[in-house]
Amino acid sequence: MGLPRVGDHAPEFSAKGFFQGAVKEFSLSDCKGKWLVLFFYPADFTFICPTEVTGFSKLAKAFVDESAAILGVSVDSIDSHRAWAAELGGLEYPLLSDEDKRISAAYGVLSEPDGVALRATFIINPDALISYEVVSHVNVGRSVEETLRVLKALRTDRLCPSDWHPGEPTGDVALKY
Amino acid sequence: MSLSEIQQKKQVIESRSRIREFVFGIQDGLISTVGLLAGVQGATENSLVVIVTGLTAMFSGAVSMAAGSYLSAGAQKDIFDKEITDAEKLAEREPYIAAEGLLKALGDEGLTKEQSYRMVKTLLQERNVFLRTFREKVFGLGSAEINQPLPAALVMGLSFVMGAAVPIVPYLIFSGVSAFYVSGLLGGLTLFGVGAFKGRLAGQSLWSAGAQFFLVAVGAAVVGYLIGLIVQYFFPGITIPAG
Repeated sequence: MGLPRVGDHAPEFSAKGFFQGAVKEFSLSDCKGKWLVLFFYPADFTFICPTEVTGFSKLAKAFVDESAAILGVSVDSIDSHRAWAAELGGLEYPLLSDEDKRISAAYGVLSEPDGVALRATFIINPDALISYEVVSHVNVGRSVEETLRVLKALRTDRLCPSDWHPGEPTGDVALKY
Repeated sequence: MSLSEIQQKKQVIESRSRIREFVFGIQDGLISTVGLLAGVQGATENSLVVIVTGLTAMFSGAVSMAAGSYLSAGAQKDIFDKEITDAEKLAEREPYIAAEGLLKALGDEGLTKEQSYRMVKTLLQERNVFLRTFREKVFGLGSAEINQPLPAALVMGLSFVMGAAVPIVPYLIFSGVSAFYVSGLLGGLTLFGVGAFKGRLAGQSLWSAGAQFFLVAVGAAVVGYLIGLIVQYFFPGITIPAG
């Protein structure tokens, strides 16, 4: 399955996730009406992934302030997520288990040779449409600050220039591009 | 085994790794000298000539073999040292890649992801230990693989002398064909003994280790002799020197 495009309806998913000591079901429909930052990462218990996973956790409140939920997804099991979250000292958002790799495949981010998800981030708007997506090589970690910046820009619903930050001028969408 | 014996075991293993030079030196010294002496003895009735020839070949062969061992071990060590330096530079320059590489190596050896991660995380707290483990596990560059040139050369040279001396000694006592037969017999017994010694170190049956050693070494000598006969058959004017 290919990468869905910006503007497409985000592929539906439902999976078990681990969050603050409990395992429960998480789905796209649970997030309808709010922004969702859905990020994929290759694996628990590796050395680049913790920098991102903890990065999102450290800024989780900032995302909540932007009315956004965060869900992290990898192909590891719930038990692995439980141990990984404990290893990282606890996380402020759920980690979903995509053991059957269906969610990764649906979002077009499954790396077939390795059987793990690529590093991908999707920002999904309250109407469950994809507003932003970025996929990078597994060797390169993402910038959580950049993800937050883009989320803030998208929430303005206005034209935002390159490297826009809150407080800087924006343009009317009627101007187009 | 006591703790102190375990701690000394590494030196014991390293000293036993010299077996390669020991076996090579003795086998080559013995077989080449038996053949040389047989050829010289067949060409001259003078025992003194046989003995001097044997002694000359023994010392020159020992020096040559020792030099070859020194150069080959030195070449291997130089290359290993460079690979070790490159591996450590890689780990310094790209710590995440090094950590992931060690993670994978430990996983390949049977540890779970969680176990591997915890082990690598602990090793990362001590740079030198991490670097050593990284190069051993990921690149297979352990200290046991590196042959020190000078000890290798000494063992090779001395073993060659020991092997070459065995077939020479009978010529000091006997003469003519008798010396040849005793020389050959002693040579065969020595080959068997070296094989049995190896078997003892390797925890194998002394008889089968000795027999294997004897058959391989003598078999190689017989093949060499037969090749000489074949060459002489097709080129009748050519005489192949023994040894």
